[in-house]
Amino acid sequence: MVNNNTDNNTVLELREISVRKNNEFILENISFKIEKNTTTVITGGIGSGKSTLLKIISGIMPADSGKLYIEGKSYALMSFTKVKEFRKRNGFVFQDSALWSNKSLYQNLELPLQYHFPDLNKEEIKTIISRKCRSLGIDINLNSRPSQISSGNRKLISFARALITDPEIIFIDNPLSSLDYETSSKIREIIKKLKNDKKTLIICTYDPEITSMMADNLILLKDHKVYAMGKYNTIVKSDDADIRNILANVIDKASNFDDDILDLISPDFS
Amino acid sequence: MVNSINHLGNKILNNIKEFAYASGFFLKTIRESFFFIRQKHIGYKVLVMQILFTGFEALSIISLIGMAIGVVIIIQGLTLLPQFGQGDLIYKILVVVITKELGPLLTAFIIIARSATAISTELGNMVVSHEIEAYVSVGIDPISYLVVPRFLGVTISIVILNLYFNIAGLIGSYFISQFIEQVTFLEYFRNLLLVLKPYIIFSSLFKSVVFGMIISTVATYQGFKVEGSTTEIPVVAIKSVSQGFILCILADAIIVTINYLWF
Repeated sequence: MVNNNTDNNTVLELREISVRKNNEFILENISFKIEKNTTTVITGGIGSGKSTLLKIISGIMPADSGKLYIEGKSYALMSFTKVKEFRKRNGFVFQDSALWSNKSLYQNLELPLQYHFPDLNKEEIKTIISRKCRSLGIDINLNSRPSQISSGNRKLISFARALITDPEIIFIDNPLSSLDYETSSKIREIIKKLKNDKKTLIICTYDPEITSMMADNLILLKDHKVYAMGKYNTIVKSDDADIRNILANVIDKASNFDDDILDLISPDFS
Repeated sequence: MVNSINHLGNKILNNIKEFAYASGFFLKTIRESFFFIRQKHIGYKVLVMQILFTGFEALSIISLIGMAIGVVIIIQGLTLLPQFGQGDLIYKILVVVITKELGPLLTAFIIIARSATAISTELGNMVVSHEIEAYVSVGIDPISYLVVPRFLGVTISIVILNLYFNIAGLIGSYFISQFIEQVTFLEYFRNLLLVLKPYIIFSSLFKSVVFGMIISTVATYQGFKVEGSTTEIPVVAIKSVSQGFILCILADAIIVTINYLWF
């Protein structure tokens, strides 16, 4: 993942990205590449800029400086049609679900289809939505408004909305935050299936299980900078005390890294 | 002293930046409006809902106020003007005050109070709950999907409401005039039509179009200015009201001046 050579496998690339707010860095001089069909986990302490970074890689938030490249092309110079095509090929799951509150759940799922596939008729859209809900284990009244359902179901609908156009690249921000055990398990299964389907996944998470089971690559943020990045196996085996501390602090605050973090986050390597 | 100059300089610079940004926002809205009208757009439903909310739901209040204003003008006119031997001027005053001035301006004020606050609040809430980012994430441009239907909806509604205000004002004044001075319905409207020149109707509708564009642009711009806190939402709602009032009155003064100088 992290190299300076451009190759055909690179789907997203950040070059020297910085974001400031009130003259303080939210992100400072961040550069990396994301390869096709890989799962990249971004992790770091609270307020380290993970969610902002995810929004910048996905192109939904502009950086103050630096550039985003999508398959080698500068995002800033892409035409409206190219950006629309890129959006059709990616999905974003927000930490707080961010469902459109003035629309029903059905309309939340219907809108991306209407926008990207204007030739689909109502019946076809209905079929796609019910198929997607079935595959994600969503069994609720889709005529409800987002405020009428539980946060767990909101998160599942948020996944359904992000996946409704069958995207190749999926950005997932803190998928398990404030969720009950049952929904967390469902979401882990969804992410596992996406990985098995060879989707390109970029996930911000603290979850040890998602990190250990799914991460091909790991990016560790500290003090708004990338502290370490590379293949997951290499990073977790690092002797660097700071890296080990970040992993221990971030991925499971309750665990004692020196004793059991490798078991916890990567049972295969212990 | 140096600090004060720095502070003043920064303030001026920020105001210039904000003006440039707001102008860019307005120009993009105008450009997207042409695309919206030309294409089969997913935002048509939003447009219909906006016309329903701003136009249809405000009909009763606009009619009531229009009628009340008509009543006030006819009573004041019919009691005051004959004292100076200028009783015939009542029709001219009715047309100038209701059609040319108060129609567009009062309609704009009512829309600012009802719809501009609602638009700023709704969009501000959407920013806070990341719903705007969600639109961007699925590829939908918030300006073409959220701003343009509101821009067109408010502008179309305000023109229609202005017409209703005029009809209600002129009809209201007729009914009240019957208590003071018996005039037949036909005579009353013949006298009105004699002074109601096409350019007056055009000027009134033109003002409404300008006010509609101002109100919707200010309301949507202020809504998008919310950065992430719910406490910012009432602040932007107040700003959309105060800026809407000020800009509409300024625009009215400019249009009236141009009208006076050129016609």
